[in-house]
Amino acid sequence: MPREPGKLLKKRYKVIIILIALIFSLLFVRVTQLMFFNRELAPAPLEAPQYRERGFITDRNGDKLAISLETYSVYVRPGEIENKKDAARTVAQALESDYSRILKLMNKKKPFVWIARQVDIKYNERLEKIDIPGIYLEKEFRRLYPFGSFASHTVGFAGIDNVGLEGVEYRFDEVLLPKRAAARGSDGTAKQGYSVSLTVDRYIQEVVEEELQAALEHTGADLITAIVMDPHTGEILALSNKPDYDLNDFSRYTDDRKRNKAITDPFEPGSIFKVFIASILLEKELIHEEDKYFCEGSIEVEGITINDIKPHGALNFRNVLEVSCNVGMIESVDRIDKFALYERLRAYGFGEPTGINLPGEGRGILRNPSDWSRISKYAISIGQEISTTPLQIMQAASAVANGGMLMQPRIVKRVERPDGSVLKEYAPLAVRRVVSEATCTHLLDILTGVISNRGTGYKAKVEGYTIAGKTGTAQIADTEKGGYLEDEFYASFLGFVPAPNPRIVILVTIDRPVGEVYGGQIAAPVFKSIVERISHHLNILPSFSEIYIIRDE
Amino acid sequence: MGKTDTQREFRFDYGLLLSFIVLTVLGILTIYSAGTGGGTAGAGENEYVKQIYWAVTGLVVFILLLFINYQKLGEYAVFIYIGCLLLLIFTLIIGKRVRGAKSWITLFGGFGFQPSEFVKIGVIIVLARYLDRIGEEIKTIKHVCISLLITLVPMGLILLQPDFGTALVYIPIVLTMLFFSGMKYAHLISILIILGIAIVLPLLVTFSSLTGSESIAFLKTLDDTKAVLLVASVFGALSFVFFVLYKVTKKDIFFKAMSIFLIFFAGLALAAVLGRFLKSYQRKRLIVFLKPSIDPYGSGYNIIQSKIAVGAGGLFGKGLFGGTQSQLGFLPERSTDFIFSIFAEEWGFVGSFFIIVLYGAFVFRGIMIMLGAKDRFGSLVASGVTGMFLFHIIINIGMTIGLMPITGIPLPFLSYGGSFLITSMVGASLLFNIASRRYAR
Repeated sequence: MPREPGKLLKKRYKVIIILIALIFSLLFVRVTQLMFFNRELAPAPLEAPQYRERGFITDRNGDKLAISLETYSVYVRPGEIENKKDAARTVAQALESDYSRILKLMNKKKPFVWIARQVDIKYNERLEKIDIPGIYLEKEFRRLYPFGSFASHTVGFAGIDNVGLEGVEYRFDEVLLPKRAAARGSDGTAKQGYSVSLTVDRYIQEVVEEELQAALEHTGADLITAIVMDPHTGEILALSNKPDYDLNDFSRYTDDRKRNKAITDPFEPGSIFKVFIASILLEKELIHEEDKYFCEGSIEVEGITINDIKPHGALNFRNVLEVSCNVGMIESVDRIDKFALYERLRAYGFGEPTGINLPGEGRGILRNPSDWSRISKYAISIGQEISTTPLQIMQAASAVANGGMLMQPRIVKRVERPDGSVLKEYAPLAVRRVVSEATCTHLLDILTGVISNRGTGYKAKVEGYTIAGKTGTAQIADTEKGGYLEDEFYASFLGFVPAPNPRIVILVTIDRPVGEVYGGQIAAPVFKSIVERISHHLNILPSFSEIYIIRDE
Repeated sequence: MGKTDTQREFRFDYGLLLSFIVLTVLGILTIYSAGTGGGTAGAGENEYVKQIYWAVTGLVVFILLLFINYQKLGEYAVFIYIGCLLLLIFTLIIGKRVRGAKSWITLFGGFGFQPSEFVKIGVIIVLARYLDRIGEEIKTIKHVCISLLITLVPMGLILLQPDFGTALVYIPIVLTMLFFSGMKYAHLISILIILGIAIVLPLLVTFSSLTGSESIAFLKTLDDTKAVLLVASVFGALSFVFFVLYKVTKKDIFFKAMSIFLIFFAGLALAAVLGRFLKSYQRKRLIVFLKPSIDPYGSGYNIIQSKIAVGAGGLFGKGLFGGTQSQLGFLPERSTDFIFSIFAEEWGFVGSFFIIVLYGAFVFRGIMIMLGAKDRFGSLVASGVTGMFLFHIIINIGMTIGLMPITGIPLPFLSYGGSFLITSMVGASLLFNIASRRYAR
């Protein structure tokens, strides 16, 4: 038998009725207030954000890489047009556009239709002359990239509504076009957003792009990436991936093409990784330059055979790096405990993002030592079974180059107000000390041997300069079947100029070259061409220049 | 048994029927109007067509449900509850992510629905059954807690999606039902205080940082989860001390002291949890209605545009398709969350007045049905359904005119969206069902 609704209900409902009546009255009062007593809100809509100018993106010297043009957009209110055919013809003539398409737009049963947005400024005068009711012009800022594909992966782009979609345009969207009123200029009138100044040097970037483009055609590779960095400040002077894309026409390219692979895509670095392994072993004094090795062309560890390029015969540790001997490296790394090795690699920043001011950074893979197989330690010593982004390699290399301090890579130098004064400066950020200065000096000295005639990197030699470096030719993991791909390689060269006190570090990586695959053969020459063209610009003079100065006097 | 008897057993409530059908038709018109506008955000052009399909489906469901005696529903409460929970768990596993929340299930043919909407009705039936069964026992804290628990489980599953707005609706539903089932005022007020502390504390911090008075060190402390938890645990410990004292001395004063500290403990602990889980943009959205001008192009944009739209309406409005705010696309989400703004702009004060009166009448009918129901179960179901409608109406309309926070809760019958339209129809059908059988033997 169901219960009767209680008496209590009849007592309590009055409370609720009064409460509801109060709340509904409040809604009424508010609607009335908005409609009749609050006219300052209506009718003019707020100035929409896209009517303000987006700030510039410039290189480190102020050259503008992204600007905004004031353009017209044309829209119609079809209901207000008397003679649609005439109107469509006039607009079509002014825009040199298709008459029937415009007529069709004007015939839409909508109160508001866009005809053309952000029209080229050459039509401005003709558009201003049109005087037909129902046709309206509206000013809109259009983003323009004067150098097209230049530094495309860094600069990124903004869409038609002036919203940043990639690169610095995306990461600094709120700075370039602040949405909050409070972020406007001190006088409250600023119509322009803040400008972002990159660490990139236009000249160096240009050289790098030219050299990479030439190398891309020459090697037939899928992708070539290079980064040039000042190891003392972490500033990136140039960063390029080829092929790249035209920022003014970004919608024509695939997402893959638009990805900044130098910072997003991890790869197994191969032999260039031996630089960091060697620094760790030297620091802990587990190896010495004169240690003796004998390479028979392969070595068996834990029942698995790891091959070398060829039998290198009798070597000391210096020679091991010079000829990039895998056997020597594997024997050396046996002297360190895997947990200690892991701890040092983490200190170098591997396995975590560097924190660069660009979107989509990858962290690479450095597995926990408890997950390592019996041969992982040996594989890692020759740069396999670990993956890093080119940027992570650069961060680690900054420590080797500057005497042991890991510097966070930086791509943005400062943010400026429209009047040119500095709003925010991004100062160099030292992450932590990784190795001692003595180890760095010693290691760089050993690495100069790689560029000598007996080393694998002899093609990187630049007349008049002492250069330290390391070549790499890595196998590429087969993501579908497991194991490694048979005929695909990842060639690279990491170079320090000049040794023993490097002013710049350069990394060149070539993904899946066709034909010649060794880093020393194809990546080293790219490095060499870049150095030859940028060293004077950076005021890094050849070591024999002093002789000329004496002669001049 | 003649015709007169059947008439006596089943009576049509024409007022209720008419009000929600008029609302649904006006909704479709407004959605059509919103869809013809330009702009970039939201509104597809054929949303109104879909809404017509939903409305027809809803009406069919409405009619079919009338054939089932609502009293039968109570008998299946356990199965309904288990079904609801399974549906929500299922959603978490295979759900489609829409705007960051995994709240949609897509059936064959790309047809999707939001289980969290339908579960509202399920929870109402289950709670009504439970509260009906325990009767006067609801005066004990134990049964209040069990009722809350019954609601919190599905609510938690919805929070996991995460759909904060929809989960929020469950609170007024359970409180309304508890209130009408006879819970003590003291318990109700305690719960309200706990909720008040839990919601106000985290938002206070956000608001003060938005308005630029973040230098106040005290408020910063509130944002520190550890600090809040520390204070909470002090209150908790004090509460325990008084509990022991009460057990030993049996003096009433100690019990009261224990209760007060317990309330503050619960409020602060909940505040810490909420502060942890609410993302900063969510907090912003919840608080920015107090002063939208602090973020006019961000979280305050919608409110400002919505208020402009309502304000532009004037006495008779700008006429159908005539609203500039809506037609030019300044207002986002205009067919769902902000449909009232569009309606107000196009139909003016007269139209808004009409809509609010219609909703008022609908809610009033709901309360009358609750009072006149034949049994306690029906009365409780009616209270839950009416509470749900009331909360949706107040929060949604309040949001569009800047009185309530932005939570994304739709307006019953008017807003675009199939799941909630059908849920509303099911709710109306239950009310109708209860009203119609009030004289049945």
